[in-house]
Amino acid sequence: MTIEQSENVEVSKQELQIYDRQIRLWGMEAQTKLRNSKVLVIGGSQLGAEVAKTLSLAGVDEMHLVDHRFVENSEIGANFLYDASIDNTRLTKWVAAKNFLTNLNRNVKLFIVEDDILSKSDDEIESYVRGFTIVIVLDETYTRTAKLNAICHKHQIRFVAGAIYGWVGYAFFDFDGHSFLTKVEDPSSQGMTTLDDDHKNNSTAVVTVEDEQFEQKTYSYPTFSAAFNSDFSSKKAMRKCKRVIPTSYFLVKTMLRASMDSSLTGDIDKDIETLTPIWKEEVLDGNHTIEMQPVQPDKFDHLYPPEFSPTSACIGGIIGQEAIKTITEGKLPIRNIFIYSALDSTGIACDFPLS
Amino acid sequence: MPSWKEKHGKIQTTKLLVVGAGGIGCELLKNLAATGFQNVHVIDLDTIDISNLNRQFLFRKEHVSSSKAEIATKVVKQFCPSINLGFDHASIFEEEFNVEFFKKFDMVLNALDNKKARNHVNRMCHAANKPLIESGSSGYFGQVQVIMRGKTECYECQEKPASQKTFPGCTIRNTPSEHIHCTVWAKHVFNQLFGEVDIDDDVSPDMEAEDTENPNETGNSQDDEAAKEPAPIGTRKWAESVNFDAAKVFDKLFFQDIQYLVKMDHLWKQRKPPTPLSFAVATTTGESLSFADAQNKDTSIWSIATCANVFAGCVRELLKEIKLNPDVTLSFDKDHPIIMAFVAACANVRAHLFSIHTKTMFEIKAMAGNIIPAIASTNAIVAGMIVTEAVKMIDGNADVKSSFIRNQPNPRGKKLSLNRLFQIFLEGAPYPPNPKCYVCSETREVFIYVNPAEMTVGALRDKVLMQELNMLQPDVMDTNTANVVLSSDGDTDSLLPKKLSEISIEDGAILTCDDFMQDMVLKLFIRRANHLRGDNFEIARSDKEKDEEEARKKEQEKHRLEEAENKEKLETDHKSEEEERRKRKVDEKESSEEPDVKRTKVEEKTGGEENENKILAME
Repeated sequence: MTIEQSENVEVSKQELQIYDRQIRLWGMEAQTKLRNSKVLVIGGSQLGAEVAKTLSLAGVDEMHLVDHRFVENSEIGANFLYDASIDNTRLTKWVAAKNFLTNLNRNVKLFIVEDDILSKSDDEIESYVRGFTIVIVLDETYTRTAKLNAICHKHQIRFVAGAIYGWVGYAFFDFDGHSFLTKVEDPSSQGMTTLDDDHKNNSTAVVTVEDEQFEQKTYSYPTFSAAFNSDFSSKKAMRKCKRVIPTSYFLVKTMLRASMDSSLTGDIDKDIETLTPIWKEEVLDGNHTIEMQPVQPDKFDHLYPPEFSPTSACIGGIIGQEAIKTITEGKLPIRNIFIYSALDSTGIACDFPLS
Repeated sequence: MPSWKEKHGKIQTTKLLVVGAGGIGCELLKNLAATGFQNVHVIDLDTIDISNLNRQFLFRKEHVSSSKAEIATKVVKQFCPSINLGFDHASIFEEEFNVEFFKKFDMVLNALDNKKARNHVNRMCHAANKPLIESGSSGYFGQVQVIMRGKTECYECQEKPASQKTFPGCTIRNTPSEHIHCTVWAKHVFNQLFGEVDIDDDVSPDMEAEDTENPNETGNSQDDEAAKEPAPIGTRKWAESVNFDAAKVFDKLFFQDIQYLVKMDHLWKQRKPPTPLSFAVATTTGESLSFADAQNKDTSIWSIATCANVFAGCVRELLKEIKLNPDVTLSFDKDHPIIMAFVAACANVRAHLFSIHTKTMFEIKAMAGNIIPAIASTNAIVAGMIVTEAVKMIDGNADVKSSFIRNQPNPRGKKLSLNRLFQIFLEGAPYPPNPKCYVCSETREVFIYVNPAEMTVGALRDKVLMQELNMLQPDVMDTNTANVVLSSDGDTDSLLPKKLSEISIEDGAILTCDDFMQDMVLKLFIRRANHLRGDNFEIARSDKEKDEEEARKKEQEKHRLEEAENKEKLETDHKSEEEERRKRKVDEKESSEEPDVKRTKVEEKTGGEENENKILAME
């Protein structure tokens, strides 16, 4: 299915009243861009609910929601999109959420797909995702996330991935070839702030906001696999590892690797035995020491379901915010990986792979 | 091994009070229910407005004008029926929410949008000895502060910046240079004509005002004498005398008054004087939209003719409204379409006369209504961080953090910034209490600089104790004479109009101020400041003179120490210097490992505080 870019629809008077407080933040032009954007969200988890909420409230035009799985009992009472007075376990995740989302913002057109799209062939996936303004995939395995990212990267479709592991969660961004409002640096400080060589500079008109000048610039982003397989072994990298790799990164990487090998059984005790050597390897590869890690294997049960709702809220909020920034070609996004750990209250962004 | 939930069993038994069911409140209630909290009570006096719907996701269009606390409670129970969630659609200042009420909970979570209520809850939690998590958001920026009595700073340990900027009266009345000055003036015009008249809000030229920017220029030249006529008469009275004839009122505000202003030529030596504009001329300046069309075009710039048209239309409509409800006093309301249109038209005409760029009604509304931009994602993150810290606190985890969300991401590809961790959430241990805090310290002292011959007891109560120090029902006693100065039961109302000096409150007096509701007693030290007129006052958290004296002493002491050190240095031999140098080298080596992060943290912390100061108001 391809979605043709329809002619720009203007924001109505009634929408203006509802969106007042956000238009005052990101401006009318940005609101119009949102109003004409088509968003794909794959994964109807608690994190999915947070992302769908933020983008629906922001006022996107179309939201396509994909998940083929049925609602589980444990999700009732935790996912705010479900009405607990009906039997949700006979519904797939987004179908159970439809009523809430429809009422949340009636200006947003909802399309629910009860299909395991990621199990299809690359060609089928490719033809499905083309035409979306942004593709967001949540709580998926390493392999399936990397596969979807490779397709989106090829066509320069804005891409976001994210997952929650109990109390810890990550978000990954690939906005390759898309532009952002970038502050025009003072020429005198140019030497200190040169952009990386691989950044294609595509300057357009300069806008002035409160004495600061901005211009649209496009940036190149690495793929999901490149970002999560950074080589920390070079001499140069070794020296800065302690400064640039947050300790929560090793937890995320461990969980991603475990999902790749499908080596997890669901039995927490057994799984911690599997996870510990992977984690140790990742920590040492990252030139950190095991003893200095604030979260040790005795807390690894906190990397297991149920999703810790505050972590979903923080990761979901960041994903929503960054999605809005790229759709509206607004101010610069944070780096390409963001990790929140409720275990030590840290929310850190990093740029991987290390250059 | 069972799931992590088993290790955090207290989540189910802890009793929480949530104050506020707005932007952060909706997200907070959702997170609490989803995390498994079972006992929650929420208080909010507000009703739902259409402009809340972009972020307060528990509310729908059909809920507009309903109670926020009630709807939020209902909607949360829809997805989580097992929660024991109660609500009050009431003000947190109500007497029923006394210290005993606060004691029923294990912890209090603030999701408020104003300083007054935040101060009050801070005091109630202090009195009830309950931990409090304080929060706020503004655009992309947010913060969470953990407050524990005796262990951390309280909400009032540091002075907070005023939530609304004020401008000198003469700038507003005589020499506006920015659109905001015209907007403030236009709000005053509205109050003078249709609302509650406040003598501080005079809109006519201030004939006696000196030029604040050029204070040497006096206003007493001969030409200015001419400007002093005619004797100013109340704007409302004058408008009544011409039956609120729109053209006449317009001419008075924008022609006659401006003529007087122009004559005060000391004001215009370094500025461009304004141009008087009559209603007749205004209506032909540019294409004019009809009154109804103009109101719908709130995101485009109105021509001056349109402004004049809107002005006349609004005067007509507001007059009708006043006549219909003679007992009701209108007050400025940014969401009242006619009032807002009137203020926008007035502000733009004045801006035009003073050669200031005119703005759209949409933009003027933000200035006039002090609107803070707000989005769902920031509130979601703030609420997430609140619950994370709440869970840690009830688990007895000492490692609680106060956090800021950094609103200025660094550009991707900036090589310098690649060298360190990039914290989006700047977390840090909460600061220790301020030993001089007048709310949570043992001292509890405030110094006030006033002119006792001019300030009244009533002003002391309303402006100092209630407005500035946020007390609700202060009882005040003069410690020297044991006289009761103010009694919250009204026994001392006869004293209210008296000047402080008339009841022998002079320089050096110490007043004990007691608020029963907040369970707070503080000492108010009176200091004479003769230059202050009327009810004006300055407030200080410590004695200015004593501070200066101490600073002087410290400086002297430092000087002495330095001299002594210098002497010592001269005596120190070469060898020890060598040693010192070697030591420093080792330090440097060590510091290239870890400390970069530490140093960064310190830097960023100060950054965060600066940000905090920039927040005007929060959700």
